[in-house]
Parts: sequence; structure tokens; C-alpha cells
Amino acid sequence: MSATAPVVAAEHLSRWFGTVSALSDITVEVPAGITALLGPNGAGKSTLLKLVTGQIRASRGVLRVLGEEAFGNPGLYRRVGLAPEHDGFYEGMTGYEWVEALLSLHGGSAGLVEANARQALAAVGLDEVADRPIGSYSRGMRQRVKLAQAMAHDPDLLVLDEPLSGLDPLSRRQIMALLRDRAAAGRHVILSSHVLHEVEALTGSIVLLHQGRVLAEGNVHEVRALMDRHPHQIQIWARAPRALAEVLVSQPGVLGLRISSGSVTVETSAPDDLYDLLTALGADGAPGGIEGLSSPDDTLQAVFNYLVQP
Amino acid sequence: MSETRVLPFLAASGRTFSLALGRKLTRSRAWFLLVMGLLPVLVAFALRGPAAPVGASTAPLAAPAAYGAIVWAAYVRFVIPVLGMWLGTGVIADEVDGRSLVYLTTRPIARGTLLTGGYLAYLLVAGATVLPSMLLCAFALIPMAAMPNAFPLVLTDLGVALVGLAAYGALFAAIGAAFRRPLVLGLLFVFGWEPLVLLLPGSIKRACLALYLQSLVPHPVPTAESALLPQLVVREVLGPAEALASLALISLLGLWLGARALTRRDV
Repeated sequence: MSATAPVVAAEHLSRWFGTVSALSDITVEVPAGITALLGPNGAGKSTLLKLVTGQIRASRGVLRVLGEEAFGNPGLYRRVGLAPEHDGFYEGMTGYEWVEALLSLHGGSAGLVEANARQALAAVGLDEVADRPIGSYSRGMRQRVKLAQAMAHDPDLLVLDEPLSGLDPLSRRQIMALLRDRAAAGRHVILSSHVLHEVEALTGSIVLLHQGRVLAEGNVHEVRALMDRHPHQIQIWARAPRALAEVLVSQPGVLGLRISSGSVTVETSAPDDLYDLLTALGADGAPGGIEGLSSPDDTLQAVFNYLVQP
Repeated sequence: MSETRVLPFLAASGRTFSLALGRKLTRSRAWFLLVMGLLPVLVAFALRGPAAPVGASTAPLAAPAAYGAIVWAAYVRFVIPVLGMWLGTGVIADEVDGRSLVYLTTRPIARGTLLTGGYLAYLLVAGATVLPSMLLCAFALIPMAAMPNAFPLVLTDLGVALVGLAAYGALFAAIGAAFRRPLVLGLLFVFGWEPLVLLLPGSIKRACLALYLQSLVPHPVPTAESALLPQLVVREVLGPAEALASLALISLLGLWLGARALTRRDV
């Protein structure tokens, strides 16, 4: 593959499940570096990632990944690392045992496998808990151990399905830095998200998917401007949600707060400011003890509804 | 990194074997295996009588006949098919249910090695459950004085059990790789299809693994007087060579079909 060749090239690609069309005749080229697949739930992001990683075969069309066929091509999987959306761990194993077991399927000596597994766990900040059972891991740790197994064999292409969901602010920052470093080292990353704000900090290259079709691809800024007209919801898991809500209620841009068991959901017109604040609070030890963030996709759905209006 | 080498089949099967072995030995599964292994042993000790020392049977049935009946009714018709069904379907279905299959199929190994490695782990676990259990039954029911003569028979039983576990396991591993809800299909096969079809006349009963397996059992066919569960034992048997060849073929075919289904399926 030459330096300018697309990492993923799909031509009239379709995939349907029974009578349901998950991807419908898409033609798209994913460039080198970091690219985000953006779309609401059901847009076809996960289906496209499954096609890219050879988990499912296309119903119609052509798909090339790093210049090769993806389905039924295990040789390609040495160059691709996947962190799927769902956990699917062996809960009784420790984080190290799990990463090491999966990495051993790539071959190599036991010593090399061990060293690479430890290195990957350290890179995602799990070295201190690597020998604890995965069953005892928090949401954020589970996300990070998924990332560790995906990158432990140093793949050319990292494919991540909703990788930032459930991470606390500091972990987000750490993982985003890690992904940027990989891209700087000439590796490629494709990640899916339904939250524009979280991928905007990573890349300007996005593919917008909606109802199985590519709505737009390329630069993020135009979509971004459209997003800002819509209130954005952020759900924050915290040990003391009420204490956290007291801090957030007076912030500029906050339009509403909803406290539920273990979390606060904030509606804001200034999401960037709020994300910055939460990162700072996470670093300083917020009053409510922030444990994780996610963003319901209502906002993005509203934008897509707007975009597809005739 | 631009290397695209696929891990060789044997090496990959060895690694998936290690991974599957740990997966099979969960706490809840260990309890089930213990029950399956101990149940026939308890029956054997009940038949032998509580006061008798091991190897000196006072069972109401002639001891070797009682042992043979247990091999027929407990192992051939129950423990082996049930373990084959329960663990065999799980070779791939466990990974599907646990959503872990995706982590395995995106590695540089042929998908079929997930089946072969898992199958070998199944065979080890099932064998480690059944074989000691059969040995305990033999020691419980065969008088010690008769053991030197009977031991070759017991060894044959162990071999038959392994062949049965191999065939049932391969069949159900293939079902687990190809179908959703394989356990339901397995239950229908073991408790519906086999008992029913074995009773029918004609050659349709050749579609039952039990027919081939019971043809290998070296004990006399249980009679109404000696069988523990005579209604479960159909007395028709084939020649041992034909039975053995059929079971070997079923095992190989099951593994091949399972690997093929796994290679072609969506994850």
C-alpha cells in the first residue's frame, strides 16, 4: 500500500440482514491517519467496522482494507487491531492473562508475548491492575483493556467501536493522546462515535453515516457548526451526583440538569466548555467524584434529521 | 508491521486449545461435570451394597453383569451423549454467547483452529470426567479376584467411551458452530431423535450415534433381568469394525463441517 492509498476503500458496498438493510450502496475512501465514523445508533457504523475487520461479509460491493480483501483473510488480521463495542471478556482472567492469551494467537515466543502484553497494558494505564480479574474492573478499565488487546500486536490499523464511551475525563485524555501518537507514528485509526465533540479533538476527517448511507465525508467543521445550534446532552457518572450537580448548575451554557441514581445528565449549549470543565474537575478531584462520561445521541439524531430534510 | 503470516494450523490449534481449556473449567461447569461423573458411581455403590468392601461385591445382580448394565444404560445412553451435547455445543456457542468470538476471529489464525482447539479441550475435559468415573464403577462392581481377567474389558470400555465422546462432541461442535440455540437442537437429538428412531424398524436408525456406539460395547446386551433401564437399551447392534469406522467418519465429518460453518459465518 502506498503512502497515499486509502486505508479502507469501499465501492458500492451493501450489507443487509434478512430484509433489513444495514449499509446501502456506500462508496467511501478512508484516508491515512485518524478517521471517525459518525452517526446515530443504527446508522451502520458498527456494520461497516465489522466488514472492515472481516467479521461479516458484504452482501454486495467491494471492500479493500490496507489493499486486501477483509473477509476470510486471517493474514490481514495481523495488521489490524479491533476493540469492539461489546465487552465479551473472560471475566475470571486477569487483564494481563486475557491480553496475553489473545496476543499468543499471533505467534511469537512466550517472552515476546509477555513483554508486548505488559507494554500494551502499561500504555493504556492498566499496569497496576493488570493482575486483577477483569470481573473486578470499572467501566473505564474495561474499555482500556479492550484497547490494550487491540494494539498489543502493534497493528497498522486500529479499529475502535465507541472507544471513549464510559471513560472518565482523564482516561479520555490519555487514550486520545495515545491514538494521536499512533497516527503520528504512521499508523491508522478508524473509530466510531455518535458524539462529534469527542472525536473533533482527535481528527478533522469524518465519515457521516445515516440509515446505512454515507451522508457526508471529509472535514468536520461544517457539521460542527450545525451541531452547536442544538443543545447537547452529557451524562456524567459520579459517586455523589448531587454534589456534582451543585457545581455544574451555575456553569454558563447549562440549560438543564437531571439527577438519577449514580449519574447527572446535563443539557448544555456549550459542550466544549463543559467537557473542558469536567476534565479539569476530574484532574482536581471533583466534588462529586466523576467516574465516567457518555453522550446520548439525541443531539446528533436531531442534526441528522435536519440534514436529511428535503 | 506489514507481515501477513497466518499462524500454522497445529500451532494455532494448540494455542486455542489452551485458551478453551481455561474457559471450560468454570466453577458452575465443574459442578455439573462432578455430578455427571459421580452419578453412575453412586448407582454402582448402591448396587454393590453399603457394607461390602471395595472389590467384594454383594450386589443383587451378578457384579460383572451389573457393571455391564451401568456401562450400557448410564454411560452409553446418558453420560456420554449428554456431556457431548453440553460441552460440544459450547465449543463455539460459549464464545458466541459470551460475545468473545469476535476477539478470536480477528486474529491471524484460520477460524477452523478455534473449533479444533476447543474440541480438543472438550475431549480432555469430558474424558477426564468419564474415564475415572468408569474406572470407579468397575472397581465398585467387579470383584477384585476377577479384576485381572476383567481389566481388558474395562480398558475396552474406556476406549469406547473416548470414541463416543469424540463422535458426539464433533457432531455437537458442528451444530454449535452452524446454528443458533444449539443446545435446544442437542436436547432434541439426544432425548428425542435417538430414543425414538432407535425403536423404528429399517435403516433410519443408522442416523443415530447411539447405534454405532452400543455396537462397540463389549458387554452382553442387557437382559430384562439384569438391565438397570432396559427400556432405554435397544438391542440391535452392528459389527464393531463398521461401527468404529462410522464413528470415526462422523467425528471427522463433524469437525470439518463445524470448521467450515465457522469459517463462513458472520460473527
